[in-house]
Amino acid sequence: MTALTRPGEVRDLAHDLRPLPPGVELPGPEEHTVAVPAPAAWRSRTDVHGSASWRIRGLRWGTRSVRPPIVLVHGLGVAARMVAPTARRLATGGLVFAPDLPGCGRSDKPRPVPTIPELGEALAAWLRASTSGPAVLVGVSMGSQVVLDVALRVPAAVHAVVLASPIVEPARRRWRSQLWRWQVEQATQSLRLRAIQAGDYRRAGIGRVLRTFSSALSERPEETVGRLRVPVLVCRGTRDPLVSDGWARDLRARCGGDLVTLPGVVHAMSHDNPVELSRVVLGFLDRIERRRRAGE
Amino acid sequence: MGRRDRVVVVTGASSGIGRACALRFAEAGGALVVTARRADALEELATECRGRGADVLVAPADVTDAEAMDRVAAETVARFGRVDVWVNNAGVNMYGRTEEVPARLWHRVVETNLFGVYHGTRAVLPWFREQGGGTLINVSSVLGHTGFPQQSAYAASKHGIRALSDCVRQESLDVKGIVVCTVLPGPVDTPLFRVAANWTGRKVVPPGRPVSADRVAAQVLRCADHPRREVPVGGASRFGVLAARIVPGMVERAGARVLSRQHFADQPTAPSEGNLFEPPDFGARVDDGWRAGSRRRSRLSRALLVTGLLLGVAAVIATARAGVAGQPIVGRYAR
Amino acid sequence: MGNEPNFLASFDSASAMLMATARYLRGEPFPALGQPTALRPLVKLTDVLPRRLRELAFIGSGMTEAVSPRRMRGIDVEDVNEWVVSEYPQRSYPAVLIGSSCGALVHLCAALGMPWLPQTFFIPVRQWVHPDDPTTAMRKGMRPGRALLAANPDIQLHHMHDANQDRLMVRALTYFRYKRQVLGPAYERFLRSTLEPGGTIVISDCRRRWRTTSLGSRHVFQHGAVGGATEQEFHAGGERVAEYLERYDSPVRRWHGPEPDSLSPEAEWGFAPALGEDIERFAREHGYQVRRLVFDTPAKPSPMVADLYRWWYRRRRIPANRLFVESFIVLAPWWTLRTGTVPFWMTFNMEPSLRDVQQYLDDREPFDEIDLALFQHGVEAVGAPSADDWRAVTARARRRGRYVGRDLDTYPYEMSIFARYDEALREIPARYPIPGALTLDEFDGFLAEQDDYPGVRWESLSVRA
Repeated sequence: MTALTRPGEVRDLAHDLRPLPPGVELPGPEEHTVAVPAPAAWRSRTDVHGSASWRIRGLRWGTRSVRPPIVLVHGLGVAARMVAPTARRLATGGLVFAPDLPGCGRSDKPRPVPTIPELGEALAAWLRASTSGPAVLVGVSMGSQVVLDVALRVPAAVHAVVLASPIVEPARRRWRSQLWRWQVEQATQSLRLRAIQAGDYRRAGIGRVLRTFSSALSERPEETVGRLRVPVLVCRGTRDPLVSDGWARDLRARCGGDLVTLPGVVHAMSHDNPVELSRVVLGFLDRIERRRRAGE
Repeated sequence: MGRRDRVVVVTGASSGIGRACALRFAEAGGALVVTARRADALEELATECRGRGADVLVAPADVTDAEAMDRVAAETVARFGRVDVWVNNAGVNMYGRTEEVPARLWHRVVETNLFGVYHGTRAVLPWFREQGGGTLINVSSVLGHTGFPQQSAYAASKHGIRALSDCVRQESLDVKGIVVCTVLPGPVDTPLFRVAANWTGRKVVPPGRPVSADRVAAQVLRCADHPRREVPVGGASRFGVLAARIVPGMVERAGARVLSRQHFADQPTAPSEGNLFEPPDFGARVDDGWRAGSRRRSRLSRALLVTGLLLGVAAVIATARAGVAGQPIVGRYAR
Repeated sequence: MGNEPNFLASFDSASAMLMATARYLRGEPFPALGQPTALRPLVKLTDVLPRRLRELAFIGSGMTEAVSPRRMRGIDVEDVNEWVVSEYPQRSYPAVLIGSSCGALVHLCAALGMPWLPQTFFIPVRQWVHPDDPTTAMRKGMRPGRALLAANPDIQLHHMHDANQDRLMVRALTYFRYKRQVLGPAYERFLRSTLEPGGTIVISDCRRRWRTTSLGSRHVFQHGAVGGATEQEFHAGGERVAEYLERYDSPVRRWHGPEPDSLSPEAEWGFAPALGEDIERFAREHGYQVRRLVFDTPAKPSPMVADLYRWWYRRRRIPANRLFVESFIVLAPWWTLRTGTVPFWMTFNMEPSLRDVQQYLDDREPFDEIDLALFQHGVEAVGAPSADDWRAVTARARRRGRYVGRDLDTYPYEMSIFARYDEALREIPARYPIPGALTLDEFDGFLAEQDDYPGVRWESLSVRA
């Protein structure tokens, strides 16, 4: 395993963003499994009583790091593999987690299908169990709704939030509109991404995917984002049909965070544009660090 | 990567060729990072470029500062995730005899022109390697192929830029996506002549018929789309580069005799350090009006004609003496 | 370029210095005093002539330029101005010098890239008189003088009679020096077309005066001239004068000139103030600046100009260790800059000039090389230093001092130096590119760094519309 930042090393002067040295071997992932108690709201909806727990499997790269650990949360119906290319790059500088959300990938598949707040509650529990210090939450697509929920539940455990390709725009919160755009978005995906996505959908089951999305349509991220008290980065690719420039600006304005618009980057940037996403995330961390030092 | 998705960095963007490049790249859309010493000039340029549809980041920096260039590259990728085209354009000029000009001015020209390109190159190459490609465009000059009296610092630095480009091209052969282009403009209608340091006592005017900076910018864009090793801009410079290869001695003498006479007006000026150390508070624009005015045109077209004739004669002589190589150059030092 | 009007003497300070300045600005050297270089071998041949024949050669060369007195009323001095402005390249100048002749200022013009428009010109009139009879000379010059003045209302005439240095010429030539009182159409046109807007007119204002006899409102007679003999010696005689006249077998032992009744600007060098007023009017009308370089005698600016060249060379990183001592119209502005040589100009070749150059050498750190170019006038005049006195000057060089003619022992009869002086400069191996001109601001900067030069004042006149 290659971890560039060794334990005990003093953190460089706001220099997380560095080009990878030539020939560096990107670290490989390890299995990471944590069991969290099922959220109370979900328990009340189901017949199962008592101490039901969900097993959240996922991947972990690197060991301990000076920099805050980074948690990448995947989008609708897919799993950790979707964010792995970005995670590998980020892992050269420290600890990176990519959990499979409950119901997705190899995590438990609870029924009834959990809503976004329920997923957030479970992930908050997962976060407390997995990391010691505050972490950077990177939500991709629908994952951004989950990380928003987590950041509001456990602010102390969150260092910063990155909303990559955040959905869903208020003006488009209709099935018809979303289906059309989703279909356009598919055209921007690489073949490899489509293969992964097909596998993940199969594992999650189409019914679960549709139900989760139904829950996502009822979320109001533009309202919740304003309540965040941690630095926020909104990140949008110019070739993303699901996220408009106006929406990204609106989100940024509501939370007073940063906005980056990445030319030529697609919606599934965590998989198809890992270089760009990892760079802007690290650049964002550097900026936070510089601002903190300037504020001291 | 389409034009609209391109992330472009231009150094020395506040005026002249850099400004023309920025405007042209902005026209194509995508993201643009403009850098120069003058923040106010850059802000003004940025507004214009945004109006043309580009996403613009203003990053004031001095190319002589290696760390500042590193920061520009890092800011670029932090903001846009990528850097596709990096145009090393920033340059200054100085006129004066090698033995007469103050050494610190000479140093400064090389620092800005050659070290500046080096700093930009070393700042961007690691990112190119990480992302697996990128286009590096270095703006040299026809004076990267031949010399010119009273401009030794400039010509030496422009020769250096060519050599640097060649070396970097060889070094990055292992990454297929990295391409290095050198653009060789001749005299260009920019504020450069006016803001150049001048130790000759005479006013500098562009020799020959200067091409517009926009034409150079067009060539830079073409390089970004279809990279080429070295690209002369304009017929005169193409001819100059060719002639400098075939009959270097002839071109040297022609430059010393004909063009140097065309390069200085009979108008005395006090010695000045130009924009070498402090950016000027004027000239934050593309052209300097050298192409306007019919009187100058007639004089300059005459100059061009003379040059063309000389080069023609040179070509004939070159053909005639093919095979007779290694003739010593007999210098004429005294009258 | 137009031709020099044939009534003007070319063997004179004004026309020779004008040609030297103009040639420099045209990028040309000034060989053989501006005369055709083809004549050089002929001039050099005079070296083999005995002294008597050489004197005849001097007279002959002067006689060729003489103008008949009958031509006076037909002369239009505007022709001279047309010729003057046609000598200069038509381009834009930041400054123009107008006024008195001064060899040092030729070098200043070269340094500052400015043309010089002379005020005073010399018309040699054919008239036979005994050199030691100034009164008759005055009388004989009156009629042609009045004719000249009648034909030209804008000039004042100084009839000069110098039986000392000009002894050979004055018997055959009457020296008419006229001074312009206004710029006139040619000068004004030249200024309007070449002086930059807001440019500067520098007045060369030599304050040398002489006691004269008035012959009319614009007409004076000047007995004597600047040179070896003092003004007092011309008017009242003296031991040196008596010796000199005896040496030349003159029937008199002192000169009996007309009684001086006025004080006028010296005929050859002095500045007539009327022109200054016209320049100020012109400058006011056209928005030009006026600056005035005032100097007590023509010799005064020489140390300043020599120091300027030294300073300039040092700035250009040229070793300023070579001095070229020039006299009168033996000038080489182009070659001094080409070889990186410091020029020191002497008014003439007499004792006062010797003192000037010695004084300069006393005050400065020694030069490695000194080249001496002496004007030769063919008369052992009052106040002529000996050849050894001049050798003492060249001996002060640290490495090599030389007289650039053939043989200092033949001084002052060596006509051939006129054909040789620039060849001597050419032998110096050093070559430097002709530099771009200094600006007036740089000249100001130079003066600010220096101590004051005695007898020289650099004044700004505020000329506002």
